[in-house]
Amino acid sequence: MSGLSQLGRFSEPALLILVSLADGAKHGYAMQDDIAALTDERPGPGTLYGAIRRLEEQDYIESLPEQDRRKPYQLTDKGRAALQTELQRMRTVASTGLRRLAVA
Amino acid sequence: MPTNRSRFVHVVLALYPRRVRDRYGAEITELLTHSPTPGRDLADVAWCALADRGASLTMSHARPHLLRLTGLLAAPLAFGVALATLASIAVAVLGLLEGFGYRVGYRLVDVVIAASVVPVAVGTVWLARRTGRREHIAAPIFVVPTALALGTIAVASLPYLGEALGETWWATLVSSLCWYAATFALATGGAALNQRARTGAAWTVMVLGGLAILELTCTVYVLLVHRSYGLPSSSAFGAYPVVITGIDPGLVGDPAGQLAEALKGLPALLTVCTAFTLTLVITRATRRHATPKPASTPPATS
Repeated sequence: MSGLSQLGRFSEPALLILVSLADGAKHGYAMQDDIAALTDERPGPGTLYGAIRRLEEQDYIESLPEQDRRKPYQLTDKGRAALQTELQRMRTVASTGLRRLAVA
Repeated sequence: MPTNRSRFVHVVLALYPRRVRDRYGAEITELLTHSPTPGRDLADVAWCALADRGASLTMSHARPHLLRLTGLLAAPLAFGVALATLASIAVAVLGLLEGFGYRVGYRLVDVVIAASVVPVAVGTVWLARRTGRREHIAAPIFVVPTALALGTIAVASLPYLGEALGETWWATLVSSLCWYAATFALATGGAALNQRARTGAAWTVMVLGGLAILELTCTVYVLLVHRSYGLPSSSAFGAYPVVITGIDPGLVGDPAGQLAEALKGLPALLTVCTAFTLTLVITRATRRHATPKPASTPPATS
């Protein structure tokens, strides 16, 4: 995860944002709801926009024109590729860990 | 949104660096406005804003602020040197006059030394107006009196030189802290009046309040040390005008000379510091009031 790991303490919320945007553009409030449903923890606005800012700077996401005074964000191709790489890495780590647990 | 929450939102957003606030402020406000857990979310935003602020603070950004702060901390020493220099010149001139056969009484010496405060005070008012117009000092209501009080205490703590600000160090310390607290409160009130376009009232409050602060400060000092000088406690009231002018119109009586001996240069230095602080705060408040806010630009979309 060379890309997301650069985001420091925002790398986990950044991953969750990318996952949230994987099925379509969302604005901040919708992302909060989606991440809360996914993890049982609603990210604070500071954490959310701290991660959004860093993802925009890395060109992983981009903003769309405002809709009803809310600005949606969507994945870029680079962001989609980074998410795919990261999820595959996590799957490898998870399957290895689970396999070793089963062996133990 | 309840007014209190709106105020808190405004405060925590102000913690962000401007470029982040301009870009995401409206969206963060939207989330905070409808937050089901406002306390937690306000804390989250404040924490992230401070982290962003810390990350954006580089030495090149901090250097001008540090230089201004150093200047403010050193100001009491510079004011003290200016006061001592002018007083020395005045005494030397009087000595010359006496050498030419003119009779110079002690009372005249006191008055001339006291009068040397005036040009220094005028100079500091000019300096404060210039600084207030040209320099950006963050939170001047807090920073300026804090720095000047610390600078005064530092000067008072210097060996030999410090005795010029009163013979009793801890009394100088307490008086300086009283000066700081009262000046901070007065500057806050004066700036608030000025922001409501009541400039005349603000200046009046500042001048009268400044004199009251100086009287309070000297009273505190004398009340703390009067026993060791064998002075009556009543001599504390009216100590400032008597010492700063060198003239006693019957306010203190016989102990006037001992009061001047005890207080030494402290009233003069605090007079100059008060003039500097209040002028700078009013100048800054006037400038902020007169400067229209830039029109907000819509956030760019990528």
